[in-house]
Amino acid sequence: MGVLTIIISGVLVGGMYALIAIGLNAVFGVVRVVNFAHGELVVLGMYTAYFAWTVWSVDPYITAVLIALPLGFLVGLVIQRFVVQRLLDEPLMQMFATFGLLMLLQNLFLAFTRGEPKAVRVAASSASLDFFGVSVSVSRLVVLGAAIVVTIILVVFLRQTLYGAAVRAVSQDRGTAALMGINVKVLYMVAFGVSGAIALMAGALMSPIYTASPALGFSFVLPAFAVVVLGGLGSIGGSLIGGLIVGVVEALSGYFLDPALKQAVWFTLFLAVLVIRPAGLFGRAGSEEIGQR
Amino acid sequence: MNKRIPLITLATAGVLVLAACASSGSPSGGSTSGGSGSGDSSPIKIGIVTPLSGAYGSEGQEEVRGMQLALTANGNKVGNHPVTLVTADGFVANDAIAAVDRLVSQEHVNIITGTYATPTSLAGSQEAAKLNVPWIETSAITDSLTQRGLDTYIRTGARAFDFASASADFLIKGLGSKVDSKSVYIDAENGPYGTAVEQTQVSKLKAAGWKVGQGSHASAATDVTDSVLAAKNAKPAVWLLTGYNPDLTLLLRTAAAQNFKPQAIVLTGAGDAQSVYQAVGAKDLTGTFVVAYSSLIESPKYAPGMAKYYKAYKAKYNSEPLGTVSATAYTGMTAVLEIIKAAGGKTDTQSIKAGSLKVDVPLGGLPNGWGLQIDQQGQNQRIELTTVQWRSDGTLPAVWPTKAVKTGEKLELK
Amino acid sequence: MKSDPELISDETSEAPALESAASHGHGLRSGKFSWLAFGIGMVVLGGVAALLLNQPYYLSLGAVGLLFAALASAWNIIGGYGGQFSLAHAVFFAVGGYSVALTQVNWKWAPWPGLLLGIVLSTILAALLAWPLFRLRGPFFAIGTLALSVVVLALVTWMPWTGAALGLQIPFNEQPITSRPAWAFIFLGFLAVCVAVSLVVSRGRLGFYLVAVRDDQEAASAAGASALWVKTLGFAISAGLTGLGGGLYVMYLGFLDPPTFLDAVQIGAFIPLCALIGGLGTIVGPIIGGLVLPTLQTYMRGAFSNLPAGVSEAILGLVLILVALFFRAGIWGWLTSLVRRVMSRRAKSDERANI
Repeated sequence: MGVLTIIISGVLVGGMYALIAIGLNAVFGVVRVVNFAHGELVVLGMYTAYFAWTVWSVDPYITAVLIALPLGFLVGLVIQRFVVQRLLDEPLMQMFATFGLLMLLQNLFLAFTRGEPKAVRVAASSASLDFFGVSVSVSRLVVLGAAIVVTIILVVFLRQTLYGAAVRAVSQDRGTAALMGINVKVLYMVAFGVSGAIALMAGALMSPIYTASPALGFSFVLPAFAVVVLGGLGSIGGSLIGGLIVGVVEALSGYFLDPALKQAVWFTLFLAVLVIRPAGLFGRAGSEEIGQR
Repeated sequence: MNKRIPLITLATAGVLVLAACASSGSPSGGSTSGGSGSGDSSPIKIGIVTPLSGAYGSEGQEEVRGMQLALTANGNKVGNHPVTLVTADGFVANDAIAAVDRLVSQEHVNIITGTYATPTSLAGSQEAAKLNVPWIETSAITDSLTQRGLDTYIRTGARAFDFASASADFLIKGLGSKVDSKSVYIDAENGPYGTAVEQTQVSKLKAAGWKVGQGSHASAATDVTDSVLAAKNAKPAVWLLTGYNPDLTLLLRTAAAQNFKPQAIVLTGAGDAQSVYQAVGAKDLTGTFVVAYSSLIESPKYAPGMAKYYKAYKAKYNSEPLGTVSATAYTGMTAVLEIIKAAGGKTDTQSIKAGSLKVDVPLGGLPNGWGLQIDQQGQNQRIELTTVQWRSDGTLPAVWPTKAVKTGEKLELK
Repeated sequence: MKSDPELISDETSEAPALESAASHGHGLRSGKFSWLAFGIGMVVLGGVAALLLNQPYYLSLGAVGLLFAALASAWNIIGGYGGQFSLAHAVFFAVGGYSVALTQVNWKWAPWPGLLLGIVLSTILAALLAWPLFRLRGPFFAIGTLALSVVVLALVTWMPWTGAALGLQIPFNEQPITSRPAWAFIFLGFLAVCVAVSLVVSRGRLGFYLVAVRDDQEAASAAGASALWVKTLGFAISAGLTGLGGGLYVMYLGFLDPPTFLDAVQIGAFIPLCALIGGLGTIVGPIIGGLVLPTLQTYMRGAFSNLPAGVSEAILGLVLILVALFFRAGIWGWLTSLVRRVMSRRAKSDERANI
């Protein structure tokens, strides 16, 4: 009973990690850029939802779809166009730049909110369903659902459409793809846009669960990195499964070992997987080498 | 052949950088030498070291506001000595050291106060001790600060120990007779603050014969279901939590979702912010106790200066104070002035130490209801924290100790 | 005498800055000039410190600047020359710090053997970690090292024998060095050690291989340099120096707590930032970066202390983005290219005059 509750709570948290990781993967897997600021985009989504809720009394779930998605797309586009595009061949400088972006956004949040935590509260915040005697938080279930829906959409898109084929071509070999007439620049902008859109939407969906604060982004982006690497670079389905694995491992180690150690446990696990199989559990072997010399 | 230039250029650049610093040093007029001597009216300069930037920057700025208000309320002087304040940013430990060096060597401050952050207080006060300048801490709460044998260090504010014992006393004397069983599950954030509070709570409650369960959570945890379930499995009458606003919010929300409803929930140190009410909601928050710095809705006769402080804050800054940081600093600065008064207006380390030992302000004498009596270690012994309780309308009346309770309010379980 | 760095940039996928920096470094290789310049530089820095003796505030700022200059130089060995973006140097910094603090608090050791222990332990730890970590390349290495520092922070906060979350305090009267000027010179000495080691490494075979592995690992391996060995050696040397810095920093502060030593941003990312802003893969760059960045930060905090908290850090973030975008060679790279441009212009006009 207790263990079932823990596993379910792990799956639900895993859903959040997965949703954030999918957005991260859209960039990491396609453009091959480590976006350290991805967590800040999620927090931006939370603040957007808070703002819409307090100023216009818009429900966060409506914000997620109608405001966060387009706004996130725009933000992603801007980051790609004005920062990352100029650094495509310079992995070291990319990391410095996105780290700078992390510092910039995090401290802007601090300056604008004075560090005061901002919380949104809707009916779903405390609603729960009964699942074989285990109470399941509705707001978290929504995030898991969103992660699954986004996964399906992206997978179908990548497999079935011409554009998806182009994305796959570019992520495997940028140079050849460009020779084949694919506009890599536009495609990268779209990839970053999609990543930003998913991040802000995730933030808005999570706003009924967490209290938004400037430092929150960092506690989500680390697990998301782990998820992307575990699931495999560029593998959207892998991110979903990786997210669930990280969520459950974290919950179980918190319950059976010590809540203070749960991050350490799955980080160690993550390092181990990374070392044994750098391509991740579901990535094609060697995919981690692509795009690097 | 141009390769020879590098290090010479570097050296020049280094000189330039340092020279630039030297010239840009903020020359503030009216710096005084000494400022000691009784009976005269030599000015006194007080330095405030606190994080003015970074993660705790907002709190540091609030602290400065509270101290300025307190000084204004005292007519900007102590005895015949006009008093001025100078601030310096102490975001991390090495900043605190540089801040102290600047305050002492360039601003010639007589006393330093602050700090909100423990590392800032630790490093800064050592540096001040080397320069033989007294340090009166108002806001950092780690116990060990006054256990270092540092003679120049005085703390007027509360320790983690005070929060811990206030919450334990509240359980033992306030709740003990009302709950079905004397069983408690204690969960604290695993940083320095929570760890220190939890240790004291455990020992005090065990000594009083309570059945104690123990757990912890990380303040940055993304999920606390494990901590909540561990508490739920222990079936305690009281759930005693220590943390910051965001993690306490998450714990309370998760407890509601997991249908964990102990007879009483007691939060230590935080949890009295409106964001918590907004996030958790009236239904699940009503009845929750908070042991924190005195709130404004407490009995006016218990905390006499708070109404005046609040009015002054609103008038000057035209906004709501951020939590209780500035109120505590307001009280702290009042205490600093009391100590200087007791030292006869002298500000050398010996006089301040001697003065601090002489100070005798009874409970209720400081704006937030505290008194002031400094022990040999430099710690204020007259600190009384109150317990407030969330009501469904989002107010927080004091319910413990009895003398702080406003007429018409009383301690009741949910 | 040297082609315009801009011309290379589009052809090779390497940063023009690094390219020019590396070749610049090799130009210096066998010269006694670099050692002479090193000596002059240190003497001048010492002289500046001596001039500031009765200016405690600037001496404090300078001391912290020298410390970070040294740490950035140490990081630069693996990060700049080796091109490995390590975010785990906070771990080695902490190993050094804990070595001094634990031995002094528990066993009443003097800090000096503790410092030595810190160097040894952080070098060994780095060598042991090198095998798994260097299976990771590029961004994966960065993420792996970041993960490592998070794990270590969690462990250190949890374990009771490290003082857990409360950390360790060295009693006030047991701190051997309390004079502020002394610290400026100690950190200057530490900087001299780091720069000297950097010089030896970069002018020697190891530096050559590190740059080769950075620029093209496959080609370097094919040419007979074991990439793993080269990187391990560079990592271990860099870590050992960082451990020494951590030990000194504990002595400087008089206490240690996990966030002060292991913060992913304040320490883990800040050291690389110093190196970047000064100029990666050069001897002088990290020194400039270390001296400038903390000073600039302190200055901005003072200048913006009336604005909402966070503004000065936000500006720093912006500076970082701009440096990555437009000044990849850092301050030093910018200065040298400026000098070079002036020189070549003069050379051209000389030619013209000769005609």
